[in-house]
Amino acid sequence: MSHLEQFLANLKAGLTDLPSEVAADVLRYHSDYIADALSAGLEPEQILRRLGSPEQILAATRDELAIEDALRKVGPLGLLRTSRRLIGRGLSRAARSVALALLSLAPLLAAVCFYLSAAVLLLGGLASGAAVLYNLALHRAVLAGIEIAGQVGLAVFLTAACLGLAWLFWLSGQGFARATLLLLRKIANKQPPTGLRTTAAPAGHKPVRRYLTVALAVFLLAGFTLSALADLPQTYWRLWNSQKPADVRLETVMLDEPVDRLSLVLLNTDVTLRPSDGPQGRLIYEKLSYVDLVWRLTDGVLTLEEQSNGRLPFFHWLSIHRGTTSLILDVPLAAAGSDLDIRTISGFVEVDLPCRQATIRTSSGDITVRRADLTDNLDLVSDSGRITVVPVTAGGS
Amino acid sequence: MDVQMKRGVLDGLVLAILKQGDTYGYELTEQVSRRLDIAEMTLYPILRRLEAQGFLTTYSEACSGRLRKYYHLTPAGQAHLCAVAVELADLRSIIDSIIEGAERL
Repeated sequence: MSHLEQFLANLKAGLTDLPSEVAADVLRYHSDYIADALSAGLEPEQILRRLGSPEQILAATRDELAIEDALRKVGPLGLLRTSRRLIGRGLSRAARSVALALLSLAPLLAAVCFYLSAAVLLLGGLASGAAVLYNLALHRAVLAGIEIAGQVGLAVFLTAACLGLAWLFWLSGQGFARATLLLLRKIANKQPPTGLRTTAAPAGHKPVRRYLTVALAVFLLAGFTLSALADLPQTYWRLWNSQKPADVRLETVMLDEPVDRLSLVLLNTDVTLRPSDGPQGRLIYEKLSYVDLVWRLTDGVLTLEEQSNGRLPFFHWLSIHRGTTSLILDVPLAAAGSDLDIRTISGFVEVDLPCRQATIRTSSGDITVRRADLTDNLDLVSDSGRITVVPVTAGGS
Repeated sequence: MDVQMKRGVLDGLVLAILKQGDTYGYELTEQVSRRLDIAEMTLYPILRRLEAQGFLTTYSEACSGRLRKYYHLTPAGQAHLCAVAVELADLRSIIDSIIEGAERL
């Protein structure tokens, strides 16, 4: 092997830790140089003297690459990598180890923070999705189909967004963890920090990871679209209704049959139930212009449902109204008392009649039940209101 | 000459030579070494960095049976050369006064 071939072989051996593209470029430049110098009539020894040793070439190349790298990659990792490489030069081995150890604390801390944030985001995403769905389950009786779809969309969006963020934070944590490990390995090996190292090239990108990313993106987009589409008309509707004075009319309906079961599905309506004086019942209802009260009384079962009356032509909203109205029911009772099933989104409920069994749900109103016969059969839920039950003996008269 | 100073001057020198016309590694080194002592030194890292900074582009041309890599100065490189020239002119006036001062001693 001639001296020139030996030179190129040594150079090649020293290039192994550089990216292959850089290594090929370095080799090509110097073999070209040698070929041109030979054809210009230079002796091999002269050429070798002019080029310097392979070690000098490698050191100079790495120095320039560090600067090139710093120019190209401005960012936390680029900064770290460059400073690591520059610190490696011109320091004694012990000083370098200390510097690297101190330097590795920063990415270590960052990695821990990113991992923790990812965990919090993961749990938070799942919890917020679950919370929305739980809230939906509580109020599903008074929600229209599109509103349920909107809430499901919101749950999906929140969860996907948090999971996506958690994923990003996790990846950042991985990056910092890798930087920490690289630094620690440098210290352990007692090697001078060498030049460019392709950081764990994601060459064979795992297909599972890609599917996960795509699925997450699809969920994010679908959830957002669904919740936005469902929410848009609601917002519009609320805005529109808030602009005009509520047109309230008092409606009175006489009920001639006895009532022994009540099923009410209401909006933001306060409900008062009281026993009727005579045999006839009465229903006094403050009717807003955009709400209809649909009611029927068959076989002792009185069913009331508040509904939008189609001011928005293509929706059948239930829960989007702002104004609070009131409903007073004078109920003619069968001898045995009555069964109640009342759902109102945020109205107050006051029951002042003997009841065998009652299921009452409201989000934020108070619930007051007087003259309850059997307190065991009461199922009263108010998310934030107060619940008061006065038993039949105490409420008396 | 000091390594740092040599490096700063080398950038300008390489750009100035390329302004005369495109050339290849060996020829460029020859031209540089005629003006500046760069024994035991390869120009490769400097050329690579100047290319990364966008001051040079490269292309290959067939020559005696193989492809030879030529370097070409870009407009950005010309602008940088002007900037370097201005800086060096400033430096020259400082150097002149240093030399004058030294000669008077």
